[in-house]
Amino acid sequence: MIPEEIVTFLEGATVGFAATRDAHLVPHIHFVAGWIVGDDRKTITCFFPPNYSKVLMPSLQDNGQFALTVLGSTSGPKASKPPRPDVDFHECYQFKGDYATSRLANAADAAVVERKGESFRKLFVPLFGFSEEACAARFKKPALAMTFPVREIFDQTPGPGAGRRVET
Amino acid sequence: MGEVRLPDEIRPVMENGIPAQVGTCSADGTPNATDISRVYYVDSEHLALSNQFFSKTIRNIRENPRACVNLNDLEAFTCWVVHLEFDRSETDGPIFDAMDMQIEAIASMTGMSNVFKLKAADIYRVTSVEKIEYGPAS
Repeated sequence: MIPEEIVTFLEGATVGFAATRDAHLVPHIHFVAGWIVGDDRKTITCFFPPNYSKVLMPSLQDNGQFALTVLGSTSGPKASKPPRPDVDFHECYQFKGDYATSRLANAADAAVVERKGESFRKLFVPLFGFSEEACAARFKKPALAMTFPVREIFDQTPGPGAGRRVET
Repeated sequence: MGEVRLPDEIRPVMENGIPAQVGTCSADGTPNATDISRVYYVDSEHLALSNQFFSKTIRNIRENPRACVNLNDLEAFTCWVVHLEFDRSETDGPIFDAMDMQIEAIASMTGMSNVFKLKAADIYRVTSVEKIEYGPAS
């Protein structure tokens, strides 16, 4: 089960990307526009934009291996008090598991992605100077929802503890 | 198979300050996704990634030399997908020194001065490069 504090982190996090690999062990990276934790806290559903990679589904159907990395949160267990967005956004976790199901994204999924886009703008426009148009293009209405049960969680926050397995 | 060359237009994307994403895969087939503050241009056929506390990525690369890097150019609505194969690791010399200096600068700007420390410059050969556009019309 995903720890409650990591669920809180995921709700506040704004940057997501995933790795899959094909039958030849070639890795592929995919932008993830949004995510939501299942009610049982055992699964995560990821939302992919309309132009998601052509190798995503063939890779998942070949071997199921999936790794989701999420960062850009100021609500994680390591958040500074008082908050320091310029530092806190480095907190990062990786979630590994096996592909379970996928479907077309729906209006509720689009609402999740829209909220992620808004959080992304609030956090990163001041830090990196991105334009509103650039942010909006990154968080388009999603096309695909993919769910995987979380098998392992790793703390990837930069520093000596990076790579530590989180108890679930 | 001919050598794959990086287009000139990719160089500014490597220097735009936006972190890149790196994918690797262990010998048993488990993928790994991590982000990295910068990717370094070595020459038209090679890139360098900083080896800092990259432990799982480095372990995977020693088992399976293939990697994938996504470079983001948000203002151009573009992502570059670069596939790589590990070539060698350098712990001194001009590439290492240049990366070390730039990492210190990034660490200082992001409040991570005591955390970011370069262990090695890992040099990769480019095996493919693809430009993905996701602008309003795509």
